[in-house]
Amino acid sequence: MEKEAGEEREITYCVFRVGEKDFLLPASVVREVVDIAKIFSIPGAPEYVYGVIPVRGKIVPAIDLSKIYPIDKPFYNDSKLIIVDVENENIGFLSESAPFFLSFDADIIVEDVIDIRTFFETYRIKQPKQES
Amino acid sequence: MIDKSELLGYFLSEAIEHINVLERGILQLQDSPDKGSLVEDLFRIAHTLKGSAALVKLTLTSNLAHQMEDLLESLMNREIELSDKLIESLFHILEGIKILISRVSRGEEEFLENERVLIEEADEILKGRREVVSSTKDLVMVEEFLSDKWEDKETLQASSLIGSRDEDASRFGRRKEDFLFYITKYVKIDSEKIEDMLNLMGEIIIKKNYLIKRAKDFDEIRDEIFFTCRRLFFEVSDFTERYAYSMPENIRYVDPLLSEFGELEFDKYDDLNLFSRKLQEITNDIIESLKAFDKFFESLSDDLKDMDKLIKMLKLSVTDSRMMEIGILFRHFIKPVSELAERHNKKVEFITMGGSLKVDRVIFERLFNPLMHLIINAIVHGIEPPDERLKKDKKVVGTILLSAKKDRGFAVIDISDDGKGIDVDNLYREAVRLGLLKSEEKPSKEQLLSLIFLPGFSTAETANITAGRGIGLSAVKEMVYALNGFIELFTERDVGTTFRIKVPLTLAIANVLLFRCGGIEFVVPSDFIEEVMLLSQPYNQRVFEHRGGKVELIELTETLGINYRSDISQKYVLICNVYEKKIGLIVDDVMGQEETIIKPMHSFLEGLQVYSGTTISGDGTIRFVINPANLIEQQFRPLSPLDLGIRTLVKKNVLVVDDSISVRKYVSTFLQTKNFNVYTATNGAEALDLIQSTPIDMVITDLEMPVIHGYELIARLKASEKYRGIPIIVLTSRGGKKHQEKALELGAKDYLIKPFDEESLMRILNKHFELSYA
Repeated sequence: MEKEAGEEREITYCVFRVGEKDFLLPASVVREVVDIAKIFSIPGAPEYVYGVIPVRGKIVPAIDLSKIYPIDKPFYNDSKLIIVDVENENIGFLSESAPFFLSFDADIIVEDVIDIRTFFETYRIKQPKQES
Repeated sequence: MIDKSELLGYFLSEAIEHINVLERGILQLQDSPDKGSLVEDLFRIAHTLKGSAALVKLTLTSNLAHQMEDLLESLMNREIELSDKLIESLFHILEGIKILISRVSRGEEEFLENERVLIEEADEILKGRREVVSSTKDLVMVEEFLSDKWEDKETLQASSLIGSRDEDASRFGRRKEDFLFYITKYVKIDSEKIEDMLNLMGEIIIKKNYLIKRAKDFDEIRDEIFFTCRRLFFEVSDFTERYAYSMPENIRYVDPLLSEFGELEFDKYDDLNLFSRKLQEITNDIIESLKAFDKFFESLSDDLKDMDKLIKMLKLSVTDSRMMEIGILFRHFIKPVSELAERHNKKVEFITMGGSLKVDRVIFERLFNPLMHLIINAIVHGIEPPDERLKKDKKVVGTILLSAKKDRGFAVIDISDDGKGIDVDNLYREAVRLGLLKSEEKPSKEQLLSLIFLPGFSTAETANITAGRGIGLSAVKEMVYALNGFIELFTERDVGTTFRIKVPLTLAIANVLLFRCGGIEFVVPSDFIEEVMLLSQPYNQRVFEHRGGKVELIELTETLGINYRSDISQKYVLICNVYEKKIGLIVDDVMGQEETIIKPMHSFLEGLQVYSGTTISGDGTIRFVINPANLIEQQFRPLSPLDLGIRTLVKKNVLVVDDSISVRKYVSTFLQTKNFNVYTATNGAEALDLIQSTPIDMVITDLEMPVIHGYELIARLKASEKYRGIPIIVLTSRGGKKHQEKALELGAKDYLIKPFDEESLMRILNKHFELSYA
C-alpha cells in the first residue's frame, strides 16, 4: 500500500502504575481520572474488585490490577481511579499516582495495553458455575 | 376488563393523532395529486379510525370514518378521479370527525347536526364512480350550506373573530374550534420522559431525606448551644449578683474624696462592676438572639415537613403516571396460547383475572418473558393431551388461569394449570443422579421443588423447553429476582401446578430498610420486612418459634462471607416474609427506613446474585440491596468463599491518642480519607477506657500525655492478654534514640517522629495491617 508522507498517525495512551508495573489504556476510552475519597467494599466480590465508588450519581467498580497480574504489593497511597467507558458502563482502574499521557506512532506495537472490552468480558463477575 | 372511560381516553389520544395525519395527508394530496402510496396510507388510517371508533361505540365517528375510507378506497382503485370536490368532501368529513371527537372529549354526547349532509355529499361522489365530475356549482352550494347551517355556537364565535371568512381559513383549520380541538384530556408522552422524571423524583427524595437528616443533626447542635448558654447565663447571673453593685467595704478605699459618704449615700462602680454589668447585658442579648433563632428554626422544620408532604404527593402522582394495567399484558398471551395449544394437539381454555391491577411499566415489560415461559411450560408439560385427560376423568379441555392480585406493595401473579402436576419422585431421582442429593437423604417436597430453579437442572418436564424454545426456569427465577421479587410453586399430582410470581408494584422509588452488618451498610426493600426484633440472648439454634410459626435464622455475615469479628452483644433480627415461610436475618444494627431509587446492578457486578441492585444516599454512600428471597437460595447452596475468592474489605478501627487537638484532628482527617474508622483519646486513660468498649485494630499514640502517658499505655496494653495483639505505633516529637528504644522495647511496632509526612504513616499502616491479617 502506498503511504503518503505526513499521514503517519499517532495513538495516545494513558499510562498508569500499579506496584512496579506500568499499564497502558488507549486514551480514547479514558473518560476521566478522579481522586478516591470514599470506597465501598462489596462482600462476596472477587479480590480484584477493590470496591465501588460513586461518581456523579453513578456507581463505578474499582479494579485492583495487582490482584490479577503478578505484581508486588502496590502502594495505593495517593490513589487515583482511571475511569473508562466500556459497554455503556464505566469501570475504574486503581492507579498508584496520577497517570500521564503518551503518544506512539500507530504502527509501533505497544506492550502492556489493556484491551478494555476483552478485559470487561473476562473479569465481569459471572453467575456461579453450575454444579455437575 | 379494561375500564371503559380509560379505553375511551386511549381512543381519543389515538384519534387526535390519526386526524392530524389525515389533515396533513389530504393537504398533500391536493398539492401533488399522483401519490399512490399516500392515498394508501390515508385509507389505512381512515380504516383504523373507523375500527377503533366502533370499538368504543362512537357510531357517528365510525360512520364518517367509514365514508372517508370508501372515498379513499375508490380513489386508490382509480374508480374516481382526484377532484376538488373529492378533497372538499374529505375535509368536510374530517371537520365533522373533529367536532365529534372534541365534543366527546368534553364529555358531551356524540352528536353532529349535519351528519347526513356529509354522508350524502360523499355518496354523491361515490355515485359518480368512473365519471369525472367537477362542478363549481356544487362546490358553491356546499360552501353555502356550510356557512348557513353547519355552525354551532362555537364556530359562529370563531367566524366572527376571524371576520371575513375566506375559504382557506375554514378549510385548513384556522378557526377557534380547531384550536380547541387540540386541548384534550389526554397527552401522549414519550415513556423516556416519564423515566427521566421519575429518576429526578428519586434524586429529589434522596436529597430531601438527607436534608431532613441534616436538620436533625442541626437540632442537636442547637440543643447543645442552648445548654451551654443556660450555663453561661447562670454563671453570669451569679457573678453579676455579687459584682454588679459596689461592695460597701471596698468603697472606702477607692476614692478618698468620697470617704465622707456613707455606703448607702453614694453609688460608686469600679471596673469589675462595670464589666459584670456589661457581661450581663451581652448574655441577655445572646439569649434573645437564641430565642429568635429557635423560633426561626421551628418554622423552618415545619416548612421542611410541608415540603416532605408535597414531595410525597408528587411522587405518588408521578409514579402513578407510569402504571399500566396488567390486563394489557395478559391479552398478549391469548394468541400464542391458542397457537401453541394447537401445535401440541392440546385443548386449552385460557382465562385471565384481575387485569385491572396496575403495575409499573418497567415491571410490566420485564414480566413478559417469565410469564411467557411459564405459560408455554403449562401448555407443553402441564396440560395432558385430550385422550389422556379423558382416561383420568378430567374435562377434555384443560384450563390455564392467569390471575393477578395485590398484596401490600406486591403484585401477585399466578399461572395455574389443571394438568398433570410435577412428578416429585422424578425430581428426586434426577437430583440423586446429578449428585445434588445423596440417595439416603429424604428431603421435603418443598426442598425438591426448589431444585427445578437451579441452573442446569433438568428433567423430562423441563428438558424440552431449555433445549430450544424457552429460557429455562432458572432464568425465569433470575428475571423475577432482578425485579426484587420472588417465585414459588405449588403442585399436586394430576391436579395441577401453580407458579406464583410476586413482584413489587413499582420499581422506581422504593421504601427500604437500612441496616449495618459487618461494618457495611445494606438495604432491604421494606415490603419484605414483617418485623424487626432485638436478639439479645445468645442463640444457637437455626430455627426459632415466633408468633406460632417457624423462623429460619440466617446469619448475614456468614452468608455474605464477611470476615468480621464484632463484639456487638445486641443484634437485630429482621423477620422477612418470603414464600410461605419466614426467615430472620441477623444483622448488627438497624438504621431506619428511607425512600430511595434502586438502580440495577452494574453489569460488571451482575454475577453477584445476592444483591438485586444498589442505592446511593444523599451523602454519597453506596449501599447494596439484599433480596431476602435470594438468601434462601444461598442457604441451600451457600456461596463458597474459595470459589469466589472472597475477600472482604472491612474498615479498620484506628485509635489516635494524643493530648494535642491539632495532632488528633490532623491524623484522624488523614486516616478517614484513607478509609479508616478513627477513634480519638486525649490520654492513656481515655484510650484504655475506649479500647474496652470498641474493637480497635491499631493504636497510634503520643508519649508525653497527662494522666497516663504513652509508655504506660504501651506497657498496660502489652500486659493484657486480650489487647496484646493490637499493633501500637508511637507518634512523637521526641526524636532521641533513648526514647525510641524504650518504646520499641515495651512492644511498640513502629516509631514515627513529628512532624511526619503522610506517606511514611501510610507505609507503616500498610505494613502492619498486612502483618496482623496474614
